[in-house]
Amino acid sequence: MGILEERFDPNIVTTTVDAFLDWARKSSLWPMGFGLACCAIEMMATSMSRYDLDRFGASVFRSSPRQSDLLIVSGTVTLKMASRVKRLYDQMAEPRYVISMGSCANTGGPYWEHGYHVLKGVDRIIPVDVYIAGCPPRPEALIDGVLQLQKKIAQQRVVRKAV
Amino acid sequence: MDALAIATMVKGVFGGALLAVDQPDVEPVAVIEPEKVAEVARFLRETPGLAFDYLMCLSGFDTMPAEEDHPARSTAAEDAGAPVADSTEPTLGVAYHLFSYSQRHRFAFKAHTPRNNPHIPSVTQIWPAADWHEREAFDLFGIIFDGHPDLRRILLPEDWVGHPLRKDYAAQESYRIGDACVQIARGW
Repeated sequence: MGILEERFDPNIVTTTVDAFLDWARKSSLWPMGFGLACCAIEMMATSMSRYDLDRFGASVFRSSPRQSDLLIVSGTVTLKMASRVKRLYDQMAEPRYVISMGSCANTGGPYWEHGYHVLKGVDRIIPVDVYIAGCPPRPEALIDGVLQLQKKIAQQRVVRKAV
Repeated sequence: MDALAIATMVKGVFGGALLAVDQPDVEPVAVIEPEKVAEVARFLRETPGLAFDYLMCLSGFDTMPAEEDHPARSTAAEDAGAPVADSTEPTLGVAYHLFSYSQRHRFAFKAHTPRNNPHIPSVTQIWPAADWHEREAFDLFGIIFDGHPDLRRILLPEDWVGHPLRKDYAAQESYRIGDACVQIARGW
């Protein structure tokens, strides 16, 4: 940093492009307002005042996939819904992230054995970044999932070569 | 009016079309000849003393015992010294639960239909509420409601194969989602 030292005003920060992009991305996640089952109730609670997901910059729930970069799969993915989930994911602009919330979205949950109509894990149709266990997970667990995702985003490399 | 009295009234008008009255001591359910369902329904709705203006529920059913129930059930019956349940052919059927707002009374009737060719007249012309209920019974049991204006699947996707609430339903192995094909059966 020798050549940059003391060449700017005190409120100027120098950093790498990657760190800057990752910081911007992780600090303003815009989730899609998309609920599938009882997990969605917890997701709503998480975004409201008591748990206040906005503290982590991730509570601007958008009603269009075009404006969202985080898909929280909150609930049972039936086979009928699976094609819709896939389409919504495809409609999101990159970079996009997916949180699989709850046992149903993770593995089919209670429908694992006999659910003739349930997709046995949303990762069978779309890539998942973070899995949250629970049935349904408490808001604290969802917040933890968002924080895990933010950690993951902070590791992304856009300009630098991948390690 | 008492449900048994209503059943007697139906019996008086339709005679042999009322085959039996099930569980008369608990909640009587009249068993109706399937071809006569729409006529009996219209009678129940339009007769002034009955005035069944509200179809509370219309549900399909399958009388075939679930496979795992077979041995346990027969053994229990034999142990108790009771006659083994009659081995009548299992059927599909539809049950109708009615209520009258003006008379404050209720009534239930049902009709059986053969598994290989299940047909029941639609009652959508009598109670419009029957529309989606009949679509559900068609979707999950495969019962054809003759005269229904729009008999499509209502819960399952349009390209689904089979009727899942039938006791002999075999789940599909896989299902197509977009370009992908996912396994339905569990297992990794």
